[in-house]
Amino acid sequence: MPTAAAEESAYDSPIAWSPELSVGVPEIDADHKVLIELISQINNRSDLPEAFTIVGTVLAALSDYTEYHFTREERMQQVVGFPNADAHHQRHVILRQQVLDYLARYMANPEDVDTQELYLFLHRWLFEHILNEDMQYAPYCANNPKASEAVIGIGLDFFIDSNSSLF
Amino acid sequence: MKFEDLRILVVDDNANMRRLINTILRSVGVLDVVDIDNGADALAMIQEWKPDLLLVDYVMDGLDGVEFTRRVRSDIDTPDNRLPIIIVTGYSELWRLNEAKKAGANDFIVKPFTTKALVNRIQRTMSQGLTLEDVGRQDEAKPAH
Repeated sequence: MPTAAAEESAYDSPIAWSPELSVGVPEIDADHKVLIELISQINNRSDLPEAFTIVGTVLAALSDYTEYHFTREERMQQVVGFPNADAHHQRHVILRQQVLDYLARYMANPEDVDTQELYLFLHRWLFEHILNEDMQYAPYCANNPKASEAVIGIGLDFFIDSNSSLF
Repeated sequence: MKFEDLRILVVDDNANMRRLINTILRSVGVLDVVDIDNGADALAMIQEWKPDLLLVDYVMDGLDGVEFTRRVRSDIDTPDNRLPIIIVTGYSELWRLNEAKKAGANDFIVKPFTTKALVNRIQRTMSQGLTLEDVGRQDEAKPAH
């Protein structure tokens, strides 16, 4: 069994996609790759004020993108009849709130947030959710055209204010 | 034109910010993105690559975002063809906003920004102005004199 220190060092490494993270739905895997790419950009050594614009924008983008991604994932779970959808939704609520809390703390005072600690947290936050929780729906969704259809059904207008539309 | 089909040129002298804007644009389906680290090269790239929209950093060595915008308006735009420009800045002072407006920028976004804020700025800018391609198509459709 790995020690806590060994687990910590695993998340200290550069975050990267690998095939064992695949849930078998290409659109969901693509969403996860976006989250990985965003988190990877926290792991730089730049100083304030540049770090403030980068880390603040990454956290804001993570907040928006997790909202979009979780909505797509939950729609997919409903369509394929995943039996643990309610519990998964509750987990999403907690995970998103954790990002919002970090974003609020960072915007209030960037020096209050240790960037390396934030990176380790988000690396673990994403990978443990994919490997321990998302993998539970994989047998219901993998290679299932209805799963992909449900995900694609929630598109980019998700990011547009409700009183306007994509041109 | 679909949002995902936009060609966007990012002009920023900070490599980390260029990479981040690229990631955010790709996350909302915009894949046709070129980024450049200085205004002079960006002016040449506009002629060559014909972007639909520019995201330009305010504070840059050499040509800054405001001077760059002035150069686009005076040297590249035509009466029928105004290239949409959104200024990206880490500073939110009113005088900077006014400078960007006077130079002819279409909009202004302050870092750190959300993905929704960026998408909505782009949506608003593009729905209010014609793109180079649209103008080109209109010109092609005009009868020859």
